[in-house]
Order: sequence, then C-alpha cells, then structure tokens
Amino acid sequence: MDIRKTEEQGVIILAPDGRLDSNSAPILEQEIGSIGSDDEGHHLLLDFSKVEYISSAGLRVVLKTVKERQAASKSFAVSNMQDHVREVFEISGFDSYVTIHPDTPQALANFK
Amino acid sequence: MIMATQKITFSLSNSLSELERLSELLSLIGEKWSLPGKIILQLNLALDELFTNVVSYGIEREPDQEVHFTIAHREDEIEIVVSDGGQSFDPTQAPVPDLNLSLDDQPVGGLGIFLMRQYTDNIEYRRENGKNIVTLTKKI
Repeated sequence: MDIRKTEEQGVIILAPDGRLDSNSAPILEQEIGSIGSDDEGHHLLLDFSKVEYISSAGLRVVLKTVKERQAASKSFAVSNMQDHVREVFEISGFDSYVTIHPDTPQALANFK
Repeated sequence: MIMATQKITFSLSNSLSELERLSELLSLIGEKWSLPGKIILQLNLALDELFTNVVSYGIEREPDQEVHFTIAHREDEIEIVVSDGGQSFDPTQAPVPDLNLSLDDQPVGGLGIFLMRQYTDNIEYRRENGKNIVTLTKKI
C-alpha cells in the first residue's frame, strides 16, 4: 500500500491508496506511528479518497489512532470516505468515535 | 479455478497476502454471474474477515495449509463453503462486540466476525474430519 504524506496549514495529511485490509493495515499503522515525535503539535488527517475497501483490520488502526491522539491531546479526523467504507464505519458504530469530514477543505477548516 | 454449473471452487494459501487474490477472484465471479458490485464487496468483506481469522489464529503453525472456498449461485442466494484443516475455530461462537461502549472502553479489535455476520444472512459451522467447515449464505 502506498501512502502519500503531505502537510497543509499545520495539518499532516496521510492518504493511503488501495485496499485497507489485514495485509495492508500494518503499513498504515506504522506510518501513523512514525509521525509521533517529529511532528509534535500537528493535527492529523486521514484522507480516505483512494481507499475503496476497509476491513476490521483497517478499523482497528483508526480506533487505535483515535485513542492515541486523544490521550496526547492532539486532533485527528478522517475525510473523503467512499460510500462502502463509510457504511462499514457506520455499521461498526465508528462514526460516533471519529470525526468524519466530506472533503479536505472542510476538514482543514475544522482543525483551526 | 474450476467451473461447474453455477459453482466455483478455489483455494488460497494461508498468507494474508492472498487477500488480494481473493478480491480479484470475487470480482471475476461477480462479472461472470452478473452480481451487483455491492454484493461482491459485502461478500469480500465477510470472506476477508473469516480468512484473516483462520490465517492469523487457526493455521499459522502449518505453513503449507490451504483454505478452500466453494461458491454456489442459487436462484436467490449465494452459498459459500469455507474449509481449512487448522485448529478448531467456530465463528458462530465469537463474542458479539458492544458498539455502545464509550471510546475509552471500546477494545481495539474484535470486529471482524461481527462484520462477517452483518454482511451475510446465515452462518453455520461444523467440525468434520479435523476440518473447520463454515457455510455462509447471502440473499441476492
């Protein structure tokens, strides 16, 4: 899985590209883990525009990230979800734990 | 991939990297049987979660084991039989997660079998000749 990393207005944006399953989720988990100390103080946005599929392994990484960011008092949100991915989030009740924005500009505006 | 009348069988090695092949095979089956993309996505997720459990917990110490899939297309449903020779694992007995827990109390993980249940209509399990045999049905 390729993950594009950019920074915009003090927000680190990670955009994974592909299917987020038990085979690829550890790659995203590692990428999120690696931003810790270097990018202290930054907000984190997961841009899911290129994620067409998510399994419980992907949900697990998102929940772990929510908990870690909250424990460190840092902001975190997810944006640009495709319909099927959003449905899996909702069925699992994750929409009540994670802030979901329709697009990147709205996500960036809400981090301020 | 062997094709009979409305029945397809295939096997995957016990490696999570096989999930990509699973998805490709299901797409092909969806095209062949003209199934809606949504049904294929949901079946993919159900089978992904079962396969991931089997590979992660059931047969990890036996590297040459395979997981076998038989997919049958009936008039109004898809029936999938998944079998493996690993340790006994009955997904119908998996605990149901509590989705109403607060964030702090929500355990990280444990949603796989829940999702498999959500996206299928019936799940049956039996242990036979040292094999786990899970039968999933989904109305179409």
